Amino acid sequence: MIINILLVADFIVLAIVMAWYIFRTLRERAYLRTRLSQSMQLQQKVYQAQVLKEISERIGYSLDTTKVVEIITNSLGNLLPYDTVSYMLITDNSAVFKCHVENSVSHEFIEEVKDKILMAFSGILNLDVKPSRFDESVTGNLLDDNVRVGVKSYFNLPVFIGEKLVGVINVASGQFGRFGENEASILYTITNQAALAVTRLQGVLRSERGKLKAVIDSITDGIISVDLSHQLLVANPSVREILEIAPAKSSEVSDITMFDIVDALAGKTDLRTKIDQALAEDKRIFVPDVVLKNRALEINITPVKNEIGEKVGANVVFHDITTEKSLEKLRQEFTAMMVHELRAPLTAVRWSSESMLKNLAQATGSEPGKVKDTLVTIETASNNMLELVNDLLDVAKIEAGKFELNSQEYDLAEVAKQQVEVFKPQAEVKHLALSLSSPEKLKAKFDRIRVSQVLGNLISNAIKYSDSGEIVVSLLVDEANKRVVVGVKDTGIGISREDLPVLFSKFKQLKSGDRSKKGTGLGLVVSKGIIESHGGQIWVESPGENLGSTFYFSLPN
Amino acid sequence: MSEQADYKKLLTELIQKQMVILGPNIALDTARKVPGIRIAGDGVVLEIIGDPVMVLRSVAQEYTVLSSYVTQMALNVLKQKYPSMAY
Repeated sequence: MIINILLVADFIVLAIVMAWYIFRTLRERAYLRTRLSQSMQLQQKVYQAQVLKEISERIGYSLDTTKVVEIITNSLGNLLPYDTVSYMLITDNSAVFKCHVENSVSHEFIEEVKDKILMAFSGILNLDVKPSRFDESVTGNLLDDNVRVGVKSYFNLPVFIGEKLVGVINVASGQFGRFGENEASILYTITNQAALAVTRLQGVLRSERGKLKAVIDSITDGIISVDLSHQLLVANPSVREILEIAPAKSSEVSDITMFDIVDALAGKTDLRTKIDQALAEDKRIFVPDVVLKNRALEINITPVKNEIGEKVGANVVFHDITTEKSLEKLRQEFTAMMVHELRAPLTAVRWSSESMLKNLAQATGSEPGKVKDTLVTIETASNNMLELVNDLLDVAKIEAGKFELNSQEYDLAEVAKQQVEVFKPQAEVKHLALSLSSPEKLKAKFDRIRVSQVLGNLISNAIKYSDSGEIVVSLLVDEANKRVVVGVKDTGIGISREDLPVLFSKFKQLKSGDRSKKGTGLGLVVSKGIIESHGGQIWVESPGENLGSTFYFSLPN
Repeated sequence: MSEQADYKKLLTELIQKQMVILGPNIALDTARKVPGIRIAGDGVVLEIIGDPVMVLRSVAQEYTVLSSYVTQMALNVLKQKYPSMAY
């Protein structure tokens, strides 16, 4: 009995020990399985990171989608066993299909892969994709039509850059049951991350390109960029304006073609030859004075190189020098006019001096009246020259900002009255009525000599450019604007609408010949400088040619 | 047709489309990761256990991990085809 009890007890102890041992073993196995799984997951992540790093390094900063898909394809092919790895890119109606054969398969197998990829395209885009043109290449092992195995397993990796489907990568095998979730899901992650990196890079470049475009578009010089085959890459809106190319049907400047540009310069310069010259000589080419219909241009052509110093194209800048050329012409005309204006009185002085010397040499004793006339001529010519030189000096002072005033409080009505009296004899010679309309007194602070000079200039001009009628000098107070206004109205030749804006300019070219023929016009330039130095304004109004004009100036009151 | 039958049809279309686009094995394995769905080898959904909307969302979520654009496009097509169903 005792023995039986002891046996049962031993059995129970043994069972407990065995149960404990089994429990511990199972627990340890579960623990090891978990650790193994964690370790595998970690290994998978490390591997994924390595592959992604390799892909990123190989892609670099490439935005060539073909290259990007090719790199991903080549990297993925090494990760798992397969018979073929392929990719297809579709643009418009043509497709690029490339396939690498690892193990020999038949032509039929390749066709099946193509069909699977096209079906994927159709499924994603929800339309029947059937490219009319195939650019196809198969590399790797030779195809063998005796291998009568079709596609038994495959998976597709759609590649999206941005939100656009750019291609589909296919991995295929002739064996069943390949490419389940465990084997293939990592490849989707890698592909998605690589595509995301390219998408981000494109986004950055798009943003930078946008900034650069905004800068180039805002430049008034015309700028174009071309590649080595003269294909137009960039053209800012100023190109169309400067080269006088007719407006596009749409508002897009990109409608400009290289043909438009070359055509606009036809007969003036051969732009394509100049670009080739700049590229061949590897230096900037400058083309001066290209004269188009209404413009003069300078053209600068600069070769463009990539980061490793290879020539990739050229930039061309069209600089409009029409204004500079016009100003240069006006300066030349101004100098010629000044020389002419000085030569006439100088000739008179020389002629008069020679005449007097001749009379003295003959010692015949000239008639006193004749000598007096000659001296008057010399005096008048000298005065004219002095007046011209004074005007030139005044203009120089005004332009240099060194014009000085001696302003005090004076009666403007009295100054105007004096000037009217001074010019009355001249007006009477031409049978012109010269009158003054003014308050009794009009106090203002101004430089008496200089404002008298302005009034004298305006009245003198009114007499010069009027053959009949009257000249009225009027003074009034503009209370609202706290100023006094002086007007000199005539019934003379008037001023055309287009001449009005340039009347106070030093280098003016008046369309109506009469006004420009008489005098240098410097008087108005000096008058403007004097009045503006006082803080006033000077302006002119005229209903048109032969309808008279009124010159006004204002002084602060 | 019952709600279950509607969602079985919709899920079948989604899975079969993913089988064409991504490949049969990966598409089936991915859908089968979701609890509450039984799928045949040709992609036909045999049974949905529990809330079908939740199952649909879970399947879509699994496919989104593989390719978000493809899943979004496929769902957009289904939404146009079955506008009255909850997604």
